[in-house]
Amino acid sequence: MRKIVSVDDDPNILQAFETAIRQKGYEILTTTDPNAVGQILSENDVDLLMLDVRMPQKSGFDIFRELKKQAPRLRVLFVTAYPKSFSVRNEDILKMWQQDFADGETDIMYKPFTLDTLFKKIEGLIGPAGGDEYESDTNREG
Amino acid sequence: MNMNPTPIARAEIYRQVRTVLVRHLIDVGRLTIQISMNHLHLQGTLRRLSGVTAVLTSQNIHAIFSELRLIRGVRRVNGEFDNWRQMDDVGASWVPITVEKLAAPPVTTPVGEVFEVKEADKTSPSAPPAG
Repeated sequence: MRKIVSVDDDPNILQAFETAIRQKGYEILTTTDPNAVGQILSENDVDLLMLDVRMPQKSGFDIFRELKKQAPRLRVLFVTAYPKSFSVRNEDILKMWQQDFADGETDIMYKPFTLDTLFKKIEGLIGPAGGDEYESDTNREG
Repeated sequence: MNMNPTPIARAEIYRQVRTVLVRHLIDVGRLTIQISMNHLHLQGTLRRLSGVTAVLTSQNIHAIFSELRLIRGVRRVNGEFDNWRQMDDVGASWVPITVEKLAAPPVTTPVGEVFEVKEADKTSPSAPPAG
């Protein structure tokens, strides 16, 4: 089963993610503590990290930069209500965009979002729940 | 002949699509990507990241779509955007969708009555903070 870790300082958001994502068939671990992410990743075989951007203790960008050094192929979905967090007027953001996003392993989702969008984003990064591989289109109508 | 990409190929297609969009400084947070039967479908708002000064043009979109069609396993690219639409003919230009504000109905007052706007009435309530 594909495993997702979600980090957000708002426990209500995490609860909502947990319910929806689990129902979809993924395994999910959640934490409000951004400093716990490293340990969670070292103890679990994680397919996707969902990161809030603005958190009081540590920003999602800081976590992302730290983890990209340790696990360059880690797939990350940023979740934020602030599209301007990704403003390239900030040189650090532009650099991160050009260097760390260029491999296509990272995506963004803005709040508010629909469950349909959430699942499309997750499936686009790690595929559907349950399989070791992406689901084939073979059985779908064209 | 089976035209479906293999499961692994689909993962790679998604990754390469994001790579193209990121290279063009497209705000991927406003788009969803779906791949089915060698058909790539982009949906949402097509715009550049906040802070990018270069305006997105029809030519830029054609260039992006051309790059997307070069991805192995992609035969057709379809865009369904709420801010751009493609003209009907094949290979046609993309045109921005402009939202026109509806004109407010004129304020009418009975003849002879003075319509006074107080200073306090002009202030609009502050927007709630984003979630």
